[in-house]
Amino acid sequence: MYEADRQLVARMRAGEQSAFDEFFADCASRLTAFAARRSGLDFSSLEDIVQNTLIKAVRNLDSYRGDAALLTWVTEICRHELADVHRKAARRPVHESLDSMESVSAAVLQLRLPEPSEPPGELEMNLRRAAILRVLDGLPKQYALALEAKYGDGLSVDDIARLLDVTPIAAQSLLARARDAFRDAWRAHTDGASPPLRRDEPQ
Amino acid sequence: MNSPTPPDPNPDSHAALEKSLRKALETAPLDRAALDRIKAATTREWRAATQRLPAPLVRARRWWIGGLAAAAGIAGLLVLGVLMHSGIEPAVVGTLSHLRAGSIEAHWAIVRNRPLRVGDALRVGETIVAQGPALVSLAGGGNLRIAAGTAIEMSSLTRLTLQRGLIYVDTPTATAGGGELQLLTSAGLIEHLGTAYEVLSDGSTVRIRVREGKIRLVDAANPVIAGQGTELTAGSQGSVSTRRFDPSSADWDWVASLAPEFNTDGQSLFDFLQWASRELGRQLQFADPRAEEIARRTILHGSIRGDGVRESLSTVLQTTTLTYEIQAGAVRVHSSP
Repeated sequence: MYEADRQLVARMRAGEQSAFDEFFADCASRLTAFAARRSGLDFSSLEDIVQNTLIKAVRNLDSYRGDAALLTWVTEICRHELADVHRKAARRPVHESLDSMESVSAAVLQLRLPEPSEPPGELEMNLRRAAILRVLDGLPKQYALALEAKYGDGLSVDDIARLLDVTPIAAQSLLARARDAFRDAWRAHTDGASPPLRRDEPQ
Repeated sequence: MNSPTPPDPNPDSHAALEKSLRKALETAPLDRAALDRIKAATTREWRAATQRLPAPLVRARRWWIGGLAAAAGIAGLLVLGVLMHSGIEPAVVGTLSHLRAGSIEAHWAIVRNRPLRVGDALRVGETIVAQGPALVSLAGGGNLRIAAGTAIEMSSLTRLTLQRGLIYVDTPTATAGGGELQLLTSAGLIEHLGTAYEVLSDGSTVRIRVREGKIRLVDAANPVIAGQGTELTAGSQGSVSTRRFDPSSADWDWVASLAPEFNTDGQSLFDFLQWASRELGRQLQFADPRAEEIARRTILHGSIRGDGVRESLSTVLQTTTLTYEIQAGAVRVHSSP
């Protein structure tokens, strides 16, 4: 399973520079995108998250067993990093007075419910994006990885096949199943208890 | 980050669904400078984690080991002087069979340094300094796998001195003369008779893992014998500790990645399966008698040049009616799925 990834890690553990370069080229940008999609962090914070994730990954290469794609393994580390950041942010007490923050006050005063006919505002866009990501994260990992690779990272079917350690035909078929699963999950999401998102918006 | 409008995924429209996903998953990349900073920091950590071995050469902590090494060095220099004068090349210890990346150099005292290429001979008196993983076929049989960051001296035809780094010695029992090979480390002299073992040395502490067979670590007073599956750590104060290890864990992937090519052409499938299982640190098991019978009477043709062990296993078995699964301690072969 994931023989190419296992080989890559073995070469990295043996100190091979080209293996490290390959690992970095494969992971860094996609990890940045992964973290960006799941957080509202600025570039500076994203840089910290990606760096911490990759450092933890290279320190723990011996724990990679090849049970999942190397990228999946690294993104799990990233997920923990993001969770840590959110935990720390939640623990941080806020003592600033809203009165002293004019821009926030102004924003608060402008808050109101949008009219149904209005185009979606920033808040709603972000809510919808978050909802799509939640649905994606609820899918089996292979499906989420394939959809994210295809539609987020712009990978070709051949690249996705390599990533998932399957043949291109199997990758194509997996993508089709992943799309179906996403469609069903989205349907359940919009029909379920979650706040409904508008369905009448022009595509 | 950026905030494009992700439209509502219309479950009935393939195109709309794809568009929604693209919009929702769209992000802006980090700039080049940020990626360079991340790469520099990660590279430092990676080097620290994988090349745990400091640069200084070995400082033997026991007088007799130091003496032995010094005597070998002096003898080597004397032989070197005589040979250089006479124009005779020293004996060949082995041949560089594979170099994965980086470079490897042979240092001959302070007189000669030469970069090695695949096919080059390694001679008595030379110290090999590897910047990338390498495979050496030993003239006496078997092979030596060398990780990046390793320095090892070819002290004689039957003795190597590990100055620092990580090596794997594989001399199958059937190899003529293989049992004579000795490895001198700062913790003592390692002797063996037909075995495969890994040695990691930072110049003071030495870790030995016996993957197959048995080794004897000879110190001045306390010879220690370690069998298959034993990890032995000799500390800087002369302390020796042992524990068990898993011979098929991912720790051994670096060894499998440097496995010598198996010449499949004309070999039986059974021999190939034995080779692959051994390289993976696992037992070969047949789930049913028919599987073993097929393996023994199937003769392979062609080459699997360049493939890793696992890939070779997959490639070769795809051409047969047998299937296999890699379990924790075994490669299990079936005659039907």
